[in-house]
Amino acid sequence: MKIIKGIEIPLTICVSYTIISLGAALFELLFGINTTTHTNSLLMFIWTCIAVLTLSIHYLFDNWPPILMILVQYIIAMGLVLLSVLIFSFITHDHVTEYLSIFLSFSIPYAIGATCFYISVFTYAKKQNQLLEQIQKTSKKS
Amino acid sequence: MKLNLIKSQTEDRIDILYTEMTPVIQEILDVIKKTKPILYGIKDGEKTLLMIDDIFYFDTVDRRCYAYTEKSVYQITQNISTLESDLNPFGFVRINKSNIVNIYHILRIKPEANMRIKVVLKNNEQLLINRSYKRNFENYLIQIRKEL
Repeated sequence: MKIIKGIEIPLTICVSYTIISLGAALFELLFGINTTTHTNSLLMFIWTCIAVLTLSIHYLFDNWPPILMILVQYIIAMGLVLLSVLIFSFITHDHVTEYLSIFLSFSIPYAIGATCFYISVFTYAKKQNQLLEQIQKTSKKS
Repeated sequence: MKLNLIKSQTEDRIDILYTEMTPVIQEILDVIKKTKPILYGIKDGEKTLLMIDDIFYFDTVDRRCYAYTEKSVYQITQNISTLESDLNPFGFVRINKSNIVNIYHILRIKPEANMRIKVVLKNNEQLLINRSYKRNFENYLIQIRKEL
């Protein structure tokens, strides 16, 4: 068996927790035990997938201004979230009326996550660009 | 100091045997280190002497190595690992398994998804810095910056 160490420990915990939670939620929903907790677990998972997939299509908007790109990605993500809620409302026979609550539940974590993600990527690139600029300027002078 | 010059048919090589590092030997070493390696490229069957400074990047395709200048491509005989070590002091750094880039021809660094970054060259060509080479690239820039 592979030894789990270092960064693999929190990753393994996250994956195991996700599998157990989703497995339990799906199992209970299949057997007709329909609780809000199970529906929420599945919806949270779907929304997380939507958010991650939407962020990962960043390269399609390479030539767009960053703000417009983030806005478009958010609209795509929000559209998919509302669609998932609509589909879920037919499956679970729960008519979701709290759209404002769903909008906020998704928007706030998405905004925080997207901001952190882009700040780290752009900061890294900015730092490298500054270094390059300094190197190229100094080498021209010499 | 005894000096031997031996003509070789196979390789250019310098061996220095010394008992103690003297200023003269150090000076010789500095000259050798600053000497840019000679690189020949083949294009349309013609062998051309390439200027290291004109090369934007190297690329390996099917174990063949190519040197890319602003507008031309030349096939070269050296492999990517040899180029990486030989050209490291002259602004060339490995950015992925098959590319070595000349940092003096980089226009800018462009962020990509999944924390990957792209290098945009002055001729608008783009190369990807692999995640495993990202730290190496960053350290190289810091090291060059310190040396200047």
